Amino acid sequence: MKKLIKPIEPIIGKSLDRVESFIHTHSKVNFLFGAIFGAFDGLLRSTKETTHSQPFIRNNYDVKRFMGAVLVALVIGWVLPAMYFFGWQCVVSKLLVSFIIGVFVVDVLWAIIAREDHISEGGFVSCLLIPAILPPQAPLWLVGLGAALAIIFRNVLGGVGNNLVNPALFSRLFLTICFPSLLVTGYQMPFVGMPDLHSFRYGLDAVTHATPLTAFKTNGEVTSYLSLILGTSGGSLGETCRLALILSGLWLIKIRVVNWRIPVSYLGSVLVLSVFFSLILGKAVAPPLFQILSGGLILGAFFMATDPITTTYNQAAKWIYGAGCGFITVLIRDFTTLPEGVMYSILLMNLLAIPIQSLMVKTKYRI
Amino acid sequence: MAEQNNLKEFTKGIFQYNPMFVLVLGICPSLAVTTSVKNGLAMGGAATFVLVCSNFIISIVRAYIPREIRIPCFIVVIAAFVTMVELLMKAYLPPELNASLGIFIPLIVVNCIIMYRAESFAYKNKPFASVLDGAGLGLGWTLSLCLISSIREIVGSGTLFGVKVSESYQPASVMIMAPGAFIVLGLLLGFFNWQKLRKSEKTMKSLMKND
Repeated sequence: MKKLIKPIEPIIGKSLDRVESFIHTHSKVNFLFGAIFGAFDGLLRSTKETTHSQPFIRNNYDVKRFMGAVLVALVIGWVLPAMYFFGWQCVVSKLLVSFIIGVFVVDVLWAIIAREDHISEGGFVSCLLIPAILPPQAPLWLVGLGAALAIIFRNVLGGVGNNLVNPALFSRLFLTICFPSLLVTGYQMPFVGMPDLHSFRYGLDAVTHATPLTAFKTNGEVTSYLSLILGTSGGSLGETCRLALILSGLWLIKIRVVNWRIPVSYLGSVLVLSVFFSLILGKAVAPPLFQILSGGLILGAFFMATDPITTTYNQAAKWIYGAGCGFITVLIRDFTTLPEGVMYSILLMNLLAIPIQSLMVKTKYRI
Repeated sequence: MAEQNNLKEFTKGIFQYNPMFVLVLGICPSLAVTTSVKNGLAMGGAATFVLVCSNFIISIVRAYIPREIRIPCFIVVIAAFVTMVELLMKAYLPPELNASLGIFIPLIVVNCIIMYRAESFAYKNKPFASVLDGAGLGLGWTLSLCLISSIREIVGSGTLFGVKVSESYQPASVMIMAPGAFIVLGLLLGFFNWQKLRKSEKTMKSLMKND
């Protein structure tokens, strides 16, 4: 592959340089297309910028590579399984709407209005996550609205690196408040078996079905663990196939994009607390393994709670952060009328990350 | 000269000293009642009436009000007009509108815009100028109430003046709840501040060029 690319590399580089010099010399073209070109150029050729002062570290992990790794993991983790389970038409149309509205309309318009010189790539991850956390039968305008809300929320607070909470989860919370009926219903059973042409395109003919957590809440029915792992039970578009999510999450941990402390402490605290509560209360609360495998817990623990911007920077504080997420999740699932608590727990701990961080640093250095 | 001054007294309440977006006064009733344009208009009209009349009376009798007890005197004047407005609204407006405005009409007594204008303008100026000032500020407040309430009504319940905007629109109910009011107010405040910033930057640039 590298040999193939090598001869055409200088040609691409030269032509991109010419386009760049053309854009920079024409101020009106620069105003309209400079930001878009910058984003594509950065994805293709990485950045030219280097730090001006010491220490210098040779490392190919800039923001673009970081986001690229998360994008690859998300495509393997939820896009490909969801295409099998719910049909490619459902998945691809939602992704297209989310990307076009989120990145190419709202973000570009914002860059033009606010006179920003580049578009950041963080929007891609948010826009890839938004269809994943909405129900499979969510209408397309809901997906588009969610993407627009996430990008606007992030840009209002000052762009990538300044968002207080996870933008994708914020927009899901907003949609939950605005359109509660659309987010509670609209879950369907995934397709199971040998895929034929019809199923690969449309998935199963849409019949709404309760998610495993709702089924447990209403009549105490525990879905089998195997179907939860393989993804043959209902749920949001991206959370059903836990096997692929766990594998891609482990890959992210291996290449050090995701800090391993957060998923470990999050899932560990959920396990410990649910064992504790089910020993005390018996069958009134969900069994421990079911809690770990159901709902959006795996997706949240590997891909959302670990967002480097909204977690703590201090390594020891990450344990408290993850444990707090798990504690709130188990509390909401077991003792309230809501079936799922992952979204609320991550949002709440995102807000608490800054106080936890400063408290930990103060105790460490005895200020 | 005098005419120009009078015009300025009137228009400054709409733009330069807009009570909602520049002074950020009277936020409590304005966020509570702006769930529909009808409510916003009724609230703005009532407050404008009270503001104009109380400004007029206070500036007439300002020579006889001792400085030490001016606040109670203002309140007596304002409360008299608020009572009048309340009784008038109960008599002539549809009952459901009255019910939705509820406690906020009597609470105009302690509305800080009215107290602020009585204290800082009507107590020091002539009656005609005070009336113009009150009318300008009242109009500015009513216009901003209409702006907020029309956004909230269109997005939150899909109607404008009670008429459905579109058949297929799915209303986002958060907008007619309390958080929606804060979101709309915050976005509008940010928008107007941004406009002001851009204007001042432009004038700075032109000044630099002239130098």
